[in-house]
Amino acid sequence: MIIKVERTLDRFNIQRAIDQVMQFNVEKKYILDLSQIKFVKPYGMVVLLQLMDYLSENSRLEIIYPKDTSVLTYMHRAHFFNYAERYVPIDHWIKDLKMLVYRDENNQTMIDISRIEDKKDIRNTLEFVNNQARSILENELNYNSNDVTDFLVVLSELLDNIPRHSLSYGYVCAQTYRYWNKPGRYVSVCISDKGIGIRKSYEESDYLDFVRLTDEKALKLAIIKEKSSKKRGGNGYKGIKEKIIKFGGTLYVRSGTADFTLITGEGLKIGQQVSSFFGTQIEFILPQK
Amino acid sequence: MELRFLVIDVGKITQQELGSDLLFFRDDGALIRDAILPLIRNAKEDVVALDFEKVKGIDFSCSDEVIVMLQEKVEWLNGKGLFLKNLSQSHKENILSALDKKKQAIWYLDGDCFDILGDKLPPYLRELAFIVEDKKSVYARQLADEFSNELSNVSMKLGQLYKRGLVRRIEQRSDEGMQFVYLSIV
Repeated sequence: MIIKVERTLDRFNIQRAIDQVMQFNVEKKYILDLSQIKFVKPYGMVVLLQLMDYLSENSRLEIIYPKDTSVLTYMHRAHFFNYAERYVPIDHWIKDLKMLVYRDENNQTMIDISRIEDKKDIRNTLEFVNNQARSILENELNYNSNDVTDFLVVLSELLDNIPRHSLSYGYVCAQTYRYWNKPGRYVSVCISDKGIGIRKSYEESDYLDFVRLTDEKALKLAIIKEKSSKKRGGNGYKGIKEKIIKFGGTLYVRSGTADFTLITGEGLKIGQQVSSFFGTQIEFILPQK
Repeated sequence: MELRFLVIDVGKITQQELGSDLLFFRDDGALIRDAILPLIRNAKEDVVALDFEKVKGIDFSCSDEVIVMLQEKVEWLNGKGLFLKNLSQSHKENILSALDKKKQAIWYLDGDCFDILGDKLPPYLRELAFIVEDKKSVYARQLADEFSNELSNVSMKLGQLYKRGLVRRIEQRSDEGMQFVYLSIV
């Protein structure tokens, strides 16, 4: 089966790729056609890695690389191919791009794709943002010290859900962009895990008595009712929503067949996806001040 | 009367225990709470200030494990009262988020004055807390007479303040037998 990703590797187009895969039985071979990609977002890259992980478990996987050199070098710089190599052989000429990448000091990713398995990985990511990426938040988004701390807090709460709830590994990535339709910049952050998902986290809880839930009800419990599957918790999403609204940003969470969207000024809603996918995928976007 | 209190440098303890000035993650919050608790319990002073000057950031989960839990479990504190000092705007917001989830509150030093952090504390309890703060030491009958309230009502409210860690309480013998005397923390 050929899975083609359209011009922008973002949340909408990677979701279409997931729908293509999940609606059919497992195939012996998949070809991921990335040739038409012209623009890449953290959510697209990170969830593409998770999709590749899923596909490579039971099938043979090949890639058709992006034709656009700037897209290729950006993905390389963001460490996409470093991690993709776990799921699919990467051609040598892609690895040789390294020479080109390191000469170009412009347009660094704010947080390169980083694998999160345990708290040490989370601490490393937070320390990186606190020390090295801080200047990007301050200079490009006009964040002051309190704003950077707020950003770290949201990031830490979401990343901690990976070892605490997902029982698996995940990835994180972030980048700043210019708005295409108005002045100013924003930061886009994606956190995605290959875990049990929010619904199963409740169903398998030692502290709650849910035999069967839908993905939609599970998302409502977690994010709207702020109820933890653990003995004590639920503070994370409460505080995260408060910070997102304080910054005027957006939050998107997807788990199983359901998704949740919070857009400051427009409220929140729970929706349904076409197909189920493992784990939990999160994107939050914060505008400049 | 000048307030005498022990200062616990939460940032220093965080650095010692976690090697960082970021107080993040629920289980690290529990670790820090467990490190602080004996210092509180064994303090010579009756009041303990948790100093956040050297804490760069505290997240919501840590706020819950460290501060909310200590306010919920006053029986752990060996009769001591707590307040917070040197809170940045970020500290205040995040601790407030955790306090509000459990409808808890705590005294904090805001510049030169003390205030209560906690938007979900019922107004009647907030008002009573400031009355005790003003008088420094009260007992239920005294307030019942002063405000023409039923003794049982005032006792119940003072008891609620005590269970939320907003006043201290000792037992004292009086002409009418043993009674609770409620003491201001700040």
